[in-house]
Amino acid sequence: MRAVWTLAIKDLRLLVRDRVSLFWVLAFPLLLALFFGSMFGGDEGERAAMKVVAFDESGGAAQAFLARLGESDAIEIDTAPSLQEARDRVRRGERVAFVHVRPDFSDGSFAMFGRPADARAPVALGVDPARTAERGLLQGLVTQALFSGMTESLGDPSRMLDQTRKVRAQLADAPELAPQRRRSLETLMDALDQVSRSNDPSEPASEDAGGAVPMGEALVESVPVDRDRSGKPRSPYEVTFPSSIVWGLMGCATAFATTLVRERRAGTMFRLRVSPLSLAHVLAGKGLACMLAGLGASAVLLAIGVIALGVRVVDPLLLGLSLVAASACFCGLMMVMSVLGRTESAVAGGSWVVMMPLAMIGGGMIPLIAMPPWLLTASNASPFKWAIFAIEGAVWRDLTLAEVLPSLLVLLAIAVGLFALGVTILRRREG
Amino acid sequence: MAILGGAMLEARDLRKSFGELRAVDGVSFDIERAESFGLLGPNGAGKSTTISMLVGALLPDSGTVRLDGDRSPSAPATRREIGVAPQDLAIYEELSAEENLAFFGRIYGLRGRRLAERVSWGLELAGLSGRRKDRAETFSGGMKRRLNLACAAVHEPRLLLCDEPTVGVDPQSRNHIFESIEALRADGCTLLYTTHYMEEAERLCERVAIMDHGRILALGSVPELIAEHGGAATVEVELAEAPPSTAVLPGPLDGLTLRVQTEDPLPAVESLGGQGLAIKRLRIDRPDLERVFLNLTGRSLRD
Repeated sequence: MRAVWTLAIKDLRLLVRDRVSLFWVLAFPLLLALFFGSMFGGDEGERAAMKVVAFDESGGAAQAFLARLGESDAIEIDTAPSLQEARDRVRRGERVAFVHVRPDFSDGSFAMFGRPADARAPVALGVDPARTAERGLLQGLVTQALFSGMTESLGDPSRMLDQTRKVRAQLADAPELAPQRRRSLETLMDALDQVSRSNDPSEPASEDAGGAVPMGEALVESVPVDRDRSGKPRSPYEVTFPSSIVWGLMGCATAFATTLVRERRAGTMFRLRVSPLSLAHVLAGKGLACMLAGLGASAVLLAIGVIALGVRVVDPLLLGLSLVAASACFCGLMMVMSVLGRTESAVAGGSWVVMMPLAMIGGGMIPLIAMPPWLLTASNASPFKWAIFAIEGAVWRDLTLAEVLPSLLVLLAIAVGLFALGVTILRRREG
Repeated sequence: MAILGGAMLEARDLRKSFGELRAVDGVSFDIERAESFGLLGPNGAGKSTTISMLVGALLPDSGTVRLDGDRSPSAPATRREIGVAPQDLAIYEELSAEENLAFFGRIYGLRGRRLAERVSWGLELAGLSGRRKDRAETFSGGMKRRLNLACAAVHEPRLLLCDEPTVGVDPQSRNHIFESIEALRADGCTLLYTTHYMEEAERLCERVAIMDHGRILALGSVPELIAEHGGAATVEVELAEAPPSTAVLPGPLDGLTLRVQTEDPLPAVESLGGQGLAIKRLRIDRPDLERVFLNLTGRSLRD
C-alpha cells in the first residue's frame, strides 16, 4: 500500500504542476457552473442587494421603519401577505431573510424599553441558514432602522416628551417589573426628559443635560428558519454545481488517462516496470491518484458553491458517499481511456470522443431536471446521469440513502467493470 | 540475500525477434561480482533489447537469465538489487532533482533518514546539490543524464545496468558520468555498460562483448580482444629526405612516408633510427577496439 501511496502522491504532484490539466479539472467545471447558473436565472440582483421580505402586523406603525430599512442599498425589501408566506420565501431561497414586525411595535418609541424582560422583541428576523455570512449585516441594518426612528424622536422635543410620558404610564401599569429595572428605566426617562427640555427653545438650558441611551436591549429577535426539505433546487447553482463536479471528475479522468501514455513516452514506465513494483501497483497508484484528485476537485468546487453562491448540502454523509462512488466510476473510465491510443494526443482525443456524448445525454450540459422524458430515459446509459443524480440527491433533492443506493451501485459496478477491462487490455499490451 | 559463488548475472542463449527482425540472436555471457562488463556495438546491435531482457522488462523468445545464482530478474526481491539507467531519459521533468531521487528511492523501499542520506548522495553523484529544488525540465541534457544515472543508483543496487548513459552529452557531463561510474565500481557495484564509444568501453570495462546484428562477435578483456582481433600496429614515419636505398626498408615507401606493420612498434622504431634515416615525423597507430570491430565486421562502429 505504501508503494501505491507513493505513486499516487507523485501523480497528484504532477497534476498540480500541469496547468492545462488543472484548467480542465477545476477552472472549466467552475466556469460551466457559473455560466449555466447565471444563464438559468442567476441572482445578480441578489448579490447586489439582499432580498428581504417583510410581514407587518403593527397596523401601519412600522411603515416608516420599513421604509428606512428599504432605503439601504444593501437591502431590497418587499412584503408578504402572511408570516408563513414570508417564512416560506426564505426557506425556498427566494429571499435571504424575513422581517416580522410584531403587533406591539411602536416606531421611534422608547416604549419598547419598558417591556417586561420576558416580553417578545417587537421585530423578528429570520435569516436563511445558508446565508449566515449576511446574518450580522442584516441584524445591524434592522437595528439601525429602529434606532433611526428614536434618533428622529430625540430631535423633536415635544414628541419625545410625549413618548417618555407614555413609557412612565406603562411603567406604572407594570407591577411585575423588577425594582432594579424600573429604577433604571425611570432614570433613563428622566434623562430623556432633560435632553428634550434642553432641546426645547421654550425651556431653559441645563448644564448636565443629556445621558446615555441603553443599547443592550434585544429589540430584534433572531428566529430560526428550518432547512428546506421540499426537494427542489433553490437556486440554479444547486443544479449546475453537481454537474460541474462531474465535469471536474471527467477532467481528472482525462488527465490521468494521458499520464499513463506520458509515462511510457518519457521512459519512466520502463523504470517503474523494472522496479520491485508490479504493474498492479502502478495501476493502483494511478487509480488512487485519480480518485483523490477527483475528490479534491469536488471539494474545492463544492466549497466555492457553498461559500460564494449559497449552494446547500442537505446530507453531507450522503454527499461523501456519492462523491466516492462517482470518483471511483470516473477512475474506471480513466483506465479504459488510457488504452484508447498509444500517444497522448490519441488518448486525449479518444477521451473527449467517449466523454462528450456521455456528458450530453447524462446531464452534463442539460440539467436532468430540465430533460424531456425521452432524454431522461436515454441518460440511464451514461455514468454522468448516475453521478449527477447521486450528488444532487445529497445537495438539494433531499433523497434518502435507500433512494440514492441504486445510483451508487451502478456507479461502483461501472467502476469495477471498466477498471478491470482497462487493466486487462493494458496488461496484454505491457506484456 | 544469499551470497553465492559464481556469476552475478548469467545470460544463456537469449533470442528475441520483432516480426521479421531478429534483434537478439543467441547472446550468452556471464558477469562476475563487482566486475565491470561492457556491451560494445553500433546503434541497432541489440544492446538495449538485451538489457530489457536481462531486467525482465521484455520476455525473451528463448534463453534464460539468472541473477546471483538462480534468481529470476522478474522477482521483486531481485529487482530491489538491480538499478537501470535507460538510454531514453527516464525522469519526471515536472519534479525537482530531489523529488525524482526521493520518488525512485521510495519505490525501492527506502524511507526516513536512509532515504534522505541516499537522496543527498544521489545529488552529489549527479553534481546537482546546488540545484536540488529545481525542476528537471530546467536542466541541460547533460544534467538530466546525470540525474538519470543517479536515479538508477539511489537505492544502492548491487548490479547497475547503464544503457548508453553518455548519449548526446557535453564533454564535461561525460567526464562527470565516467567519474560517477568509477566511484560506483570502487564501491563494489557490478556494472553492465552498453556503448558505441570504444574509448568508454576501454576506460570503464574490464571485459567487453562486441555485438553486431544481435550477436556477440567477440568477448574478452580489452587487451585480449586487441591481441586476438586488432592486428598489428602501424608505425608511420615521414622522412626528411629520400633514403639512399629502399631495399633494406622494413615496409613500403610512399613518397617520403614509410609504413611499417609490426606487433611490437618500439623495436621497429629503434631499428629505423639505427639505419641512419632522417626522421621528420613519427606516428604509431596501435590497434584499438575500433580496429577490432572493423576487423570483425568490415564496418566502423559509427557506421
